[in-house]
Amino acid sequence: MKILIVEDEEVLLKVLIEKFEKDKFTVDSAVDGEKAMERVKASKPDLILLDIILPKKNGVEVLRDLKDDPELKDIPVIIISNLGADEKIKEALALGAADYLVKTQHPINEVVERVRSWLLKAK
Amino acid sequence: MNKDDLHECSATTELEAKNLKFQEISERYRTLIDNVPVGVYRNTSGPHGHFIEVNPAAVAMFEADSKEDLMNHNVSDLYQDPENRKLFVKKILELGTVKNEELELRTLKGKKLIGSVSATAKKDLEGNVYFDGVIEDITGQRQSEFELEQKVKIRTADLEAANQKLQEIKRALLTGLEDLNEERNKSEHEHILDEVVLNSIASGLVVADKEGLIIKASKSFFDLLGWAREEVIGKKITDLVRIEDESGQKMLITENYLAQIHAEKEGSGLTRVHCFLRRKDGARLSALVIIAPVNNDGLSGIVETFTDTTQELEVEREKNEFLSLASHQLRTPLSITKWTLDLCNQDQTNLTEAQKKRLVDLYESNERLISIVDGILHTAKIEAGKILLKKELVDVSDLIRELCETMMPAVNKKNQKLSISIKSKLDHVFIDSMLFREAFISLLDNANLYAPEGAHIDVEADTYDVMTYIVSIHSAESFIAEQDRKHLFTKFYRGEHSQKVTGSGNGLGLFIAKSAVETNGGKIWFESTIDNGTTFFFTIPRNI
Repeated sequence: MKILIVEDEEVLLKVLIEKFEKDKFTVDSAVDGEKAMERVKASKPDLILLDIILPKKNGVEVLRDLKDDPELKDIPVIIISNLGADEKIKEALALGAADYLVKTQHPINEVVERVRSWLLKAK
Repeated sequence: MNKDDLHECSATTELEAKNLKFQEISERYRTLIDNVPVGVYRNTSGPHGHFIEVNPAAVAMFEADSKEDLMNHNVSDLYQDPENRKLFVKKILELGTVKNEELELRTLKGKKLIGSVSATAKKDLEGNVYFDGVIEDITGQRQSEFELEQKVKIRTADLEAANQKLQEIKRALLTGLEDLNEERNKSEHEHILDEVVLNSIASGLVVADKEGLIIKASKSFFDLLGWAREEVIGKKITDLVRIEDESGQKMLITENYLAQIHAEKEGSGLTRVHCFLRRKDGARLSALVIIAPVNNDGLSGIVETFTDTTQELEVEREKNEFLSLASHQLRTPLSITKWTLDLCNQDQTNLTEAQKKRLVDLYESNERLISIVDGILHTAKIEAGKILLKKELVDVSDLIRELCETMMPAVNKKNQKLSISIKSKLDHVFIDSMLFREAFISLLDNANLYAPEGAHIDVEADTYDVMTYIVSIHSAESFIAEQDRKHLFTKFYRGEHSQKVTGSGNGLGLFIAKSAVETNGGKIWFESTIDNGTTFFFTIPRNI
């Protein structure tokens, strides 16, 4: 299973990549919103883990673009953010994000479990 | 007959004629004296005096049996005080004539009489002085005068008393007038003060009667909403002021409050609502509306204030934005630590027991910090939420089920059992769903945290009354100690038991729950006994 992790915080990104690779996922990554769009179009992941606060283009704008693209709109997107149940999260859910996780509220294993569960649903 | 005889005869006839004339005149005077109704007398001038002549009127006046009877008495006998005869004689002798002298006399039968005496002193041929006088009985007249005088005295006394009373009344009236003036001045002064206050008050203020008709309004009300004074006084406040929620839906706050006043419901307390107002020109502004009842001297109505909260709203939004960003910034390193430690804990092959322990301690410490940051952010959101309230139609039954689902991992971790019983269909409730989430999750989180392993947690929702739904979260195995109950909903309070159960709580959960419930228009309370455990209840309004 191929996933794209979009996260601007480098250390966090490294941890996530390490975890998901350990759990046998193929992992692609991007550190800003523009790169994220490039990577999605290039690698067509099965699922995207998307942060909200990103440089160049924020996560909500990325999501909007994804949902506007007929080829990309069906890729499940899980928002990972530290904003809490905020306006941006609500907006993302309204735009069609599958789920959202507040980073500090979930152990990393749970993040992996959620990803697996959504991938199953998508199948 | 000769000449001498003729002369003598003529002289005799003349004499006889004169005698006849004299008798005629005498007779005339005699009848005059006898007929006059006043006493006429002649008496001697001595200190005692005796009558020389009296007329019938004098005889009758002094109650004598006859003329002779009267003339047999001394004149002084007819005086009540004989000494006064001497004084009167002296006076006549000095003046020659005395007129209308009032003398206190008496009749021969002893009856008192007042006589008005006029007398003149004369001398006879031998030089003896005698008095000729007229006496009139003015006893009756004097009695009448006396009686009149008495009456006058009485009347005068009455008049004086009446005058006195009048003076008192006048004084009382004057005092009353002064008091009235003072009251009027005070009232005018108070009226002026009222006007000054009304014109200086920053918030728009309106006083209306039970029907909502505006009696008084402050200058700031006219300025705030753009109405002129004559367009406001006497008009219905509900026609003038449109109150809306954030979505533009009309809110019947004033109407409902007036209905309560009409129904004379006990405890029509203060109502505070953050909302939006429409000015006369249609522009919208955010406001805080406060309504209070008025019941004074028979005036029953309301006082309503309108405070422009545009600035506060802006400040809250900025605060919210700042907090959002700040929490994100704080949480970033916390999440790095969390997940890094997660990985370390998953791969402990080359670690000593001590190192493993340190990692666990580090992880727990980090979790505690996360909890504190979460709590601070939640609290700030609740504070902001008080004026950034976003009410919408919410299906609470669905929301409860969704929130319970999110708690399942934590529940399962402690082998607890979570049951949900929704007895009424709690749909179409008009509340801020974020606040409901905060309240519910805080309470459920608490139940999970403080109930032991394997405990049962029961969530129930039902109709409470006509206006309210009630949600309860019960844990049979939890108990709140007496000393903790008073402070339970206070910020950062953690009871001794809570601290024993877990060191990682932030003391904000129940404060957040309370704030969220109350901002949504509900009430929160709990019951806790050793036998039955602990149940937290909160209500939500069924409709606006």
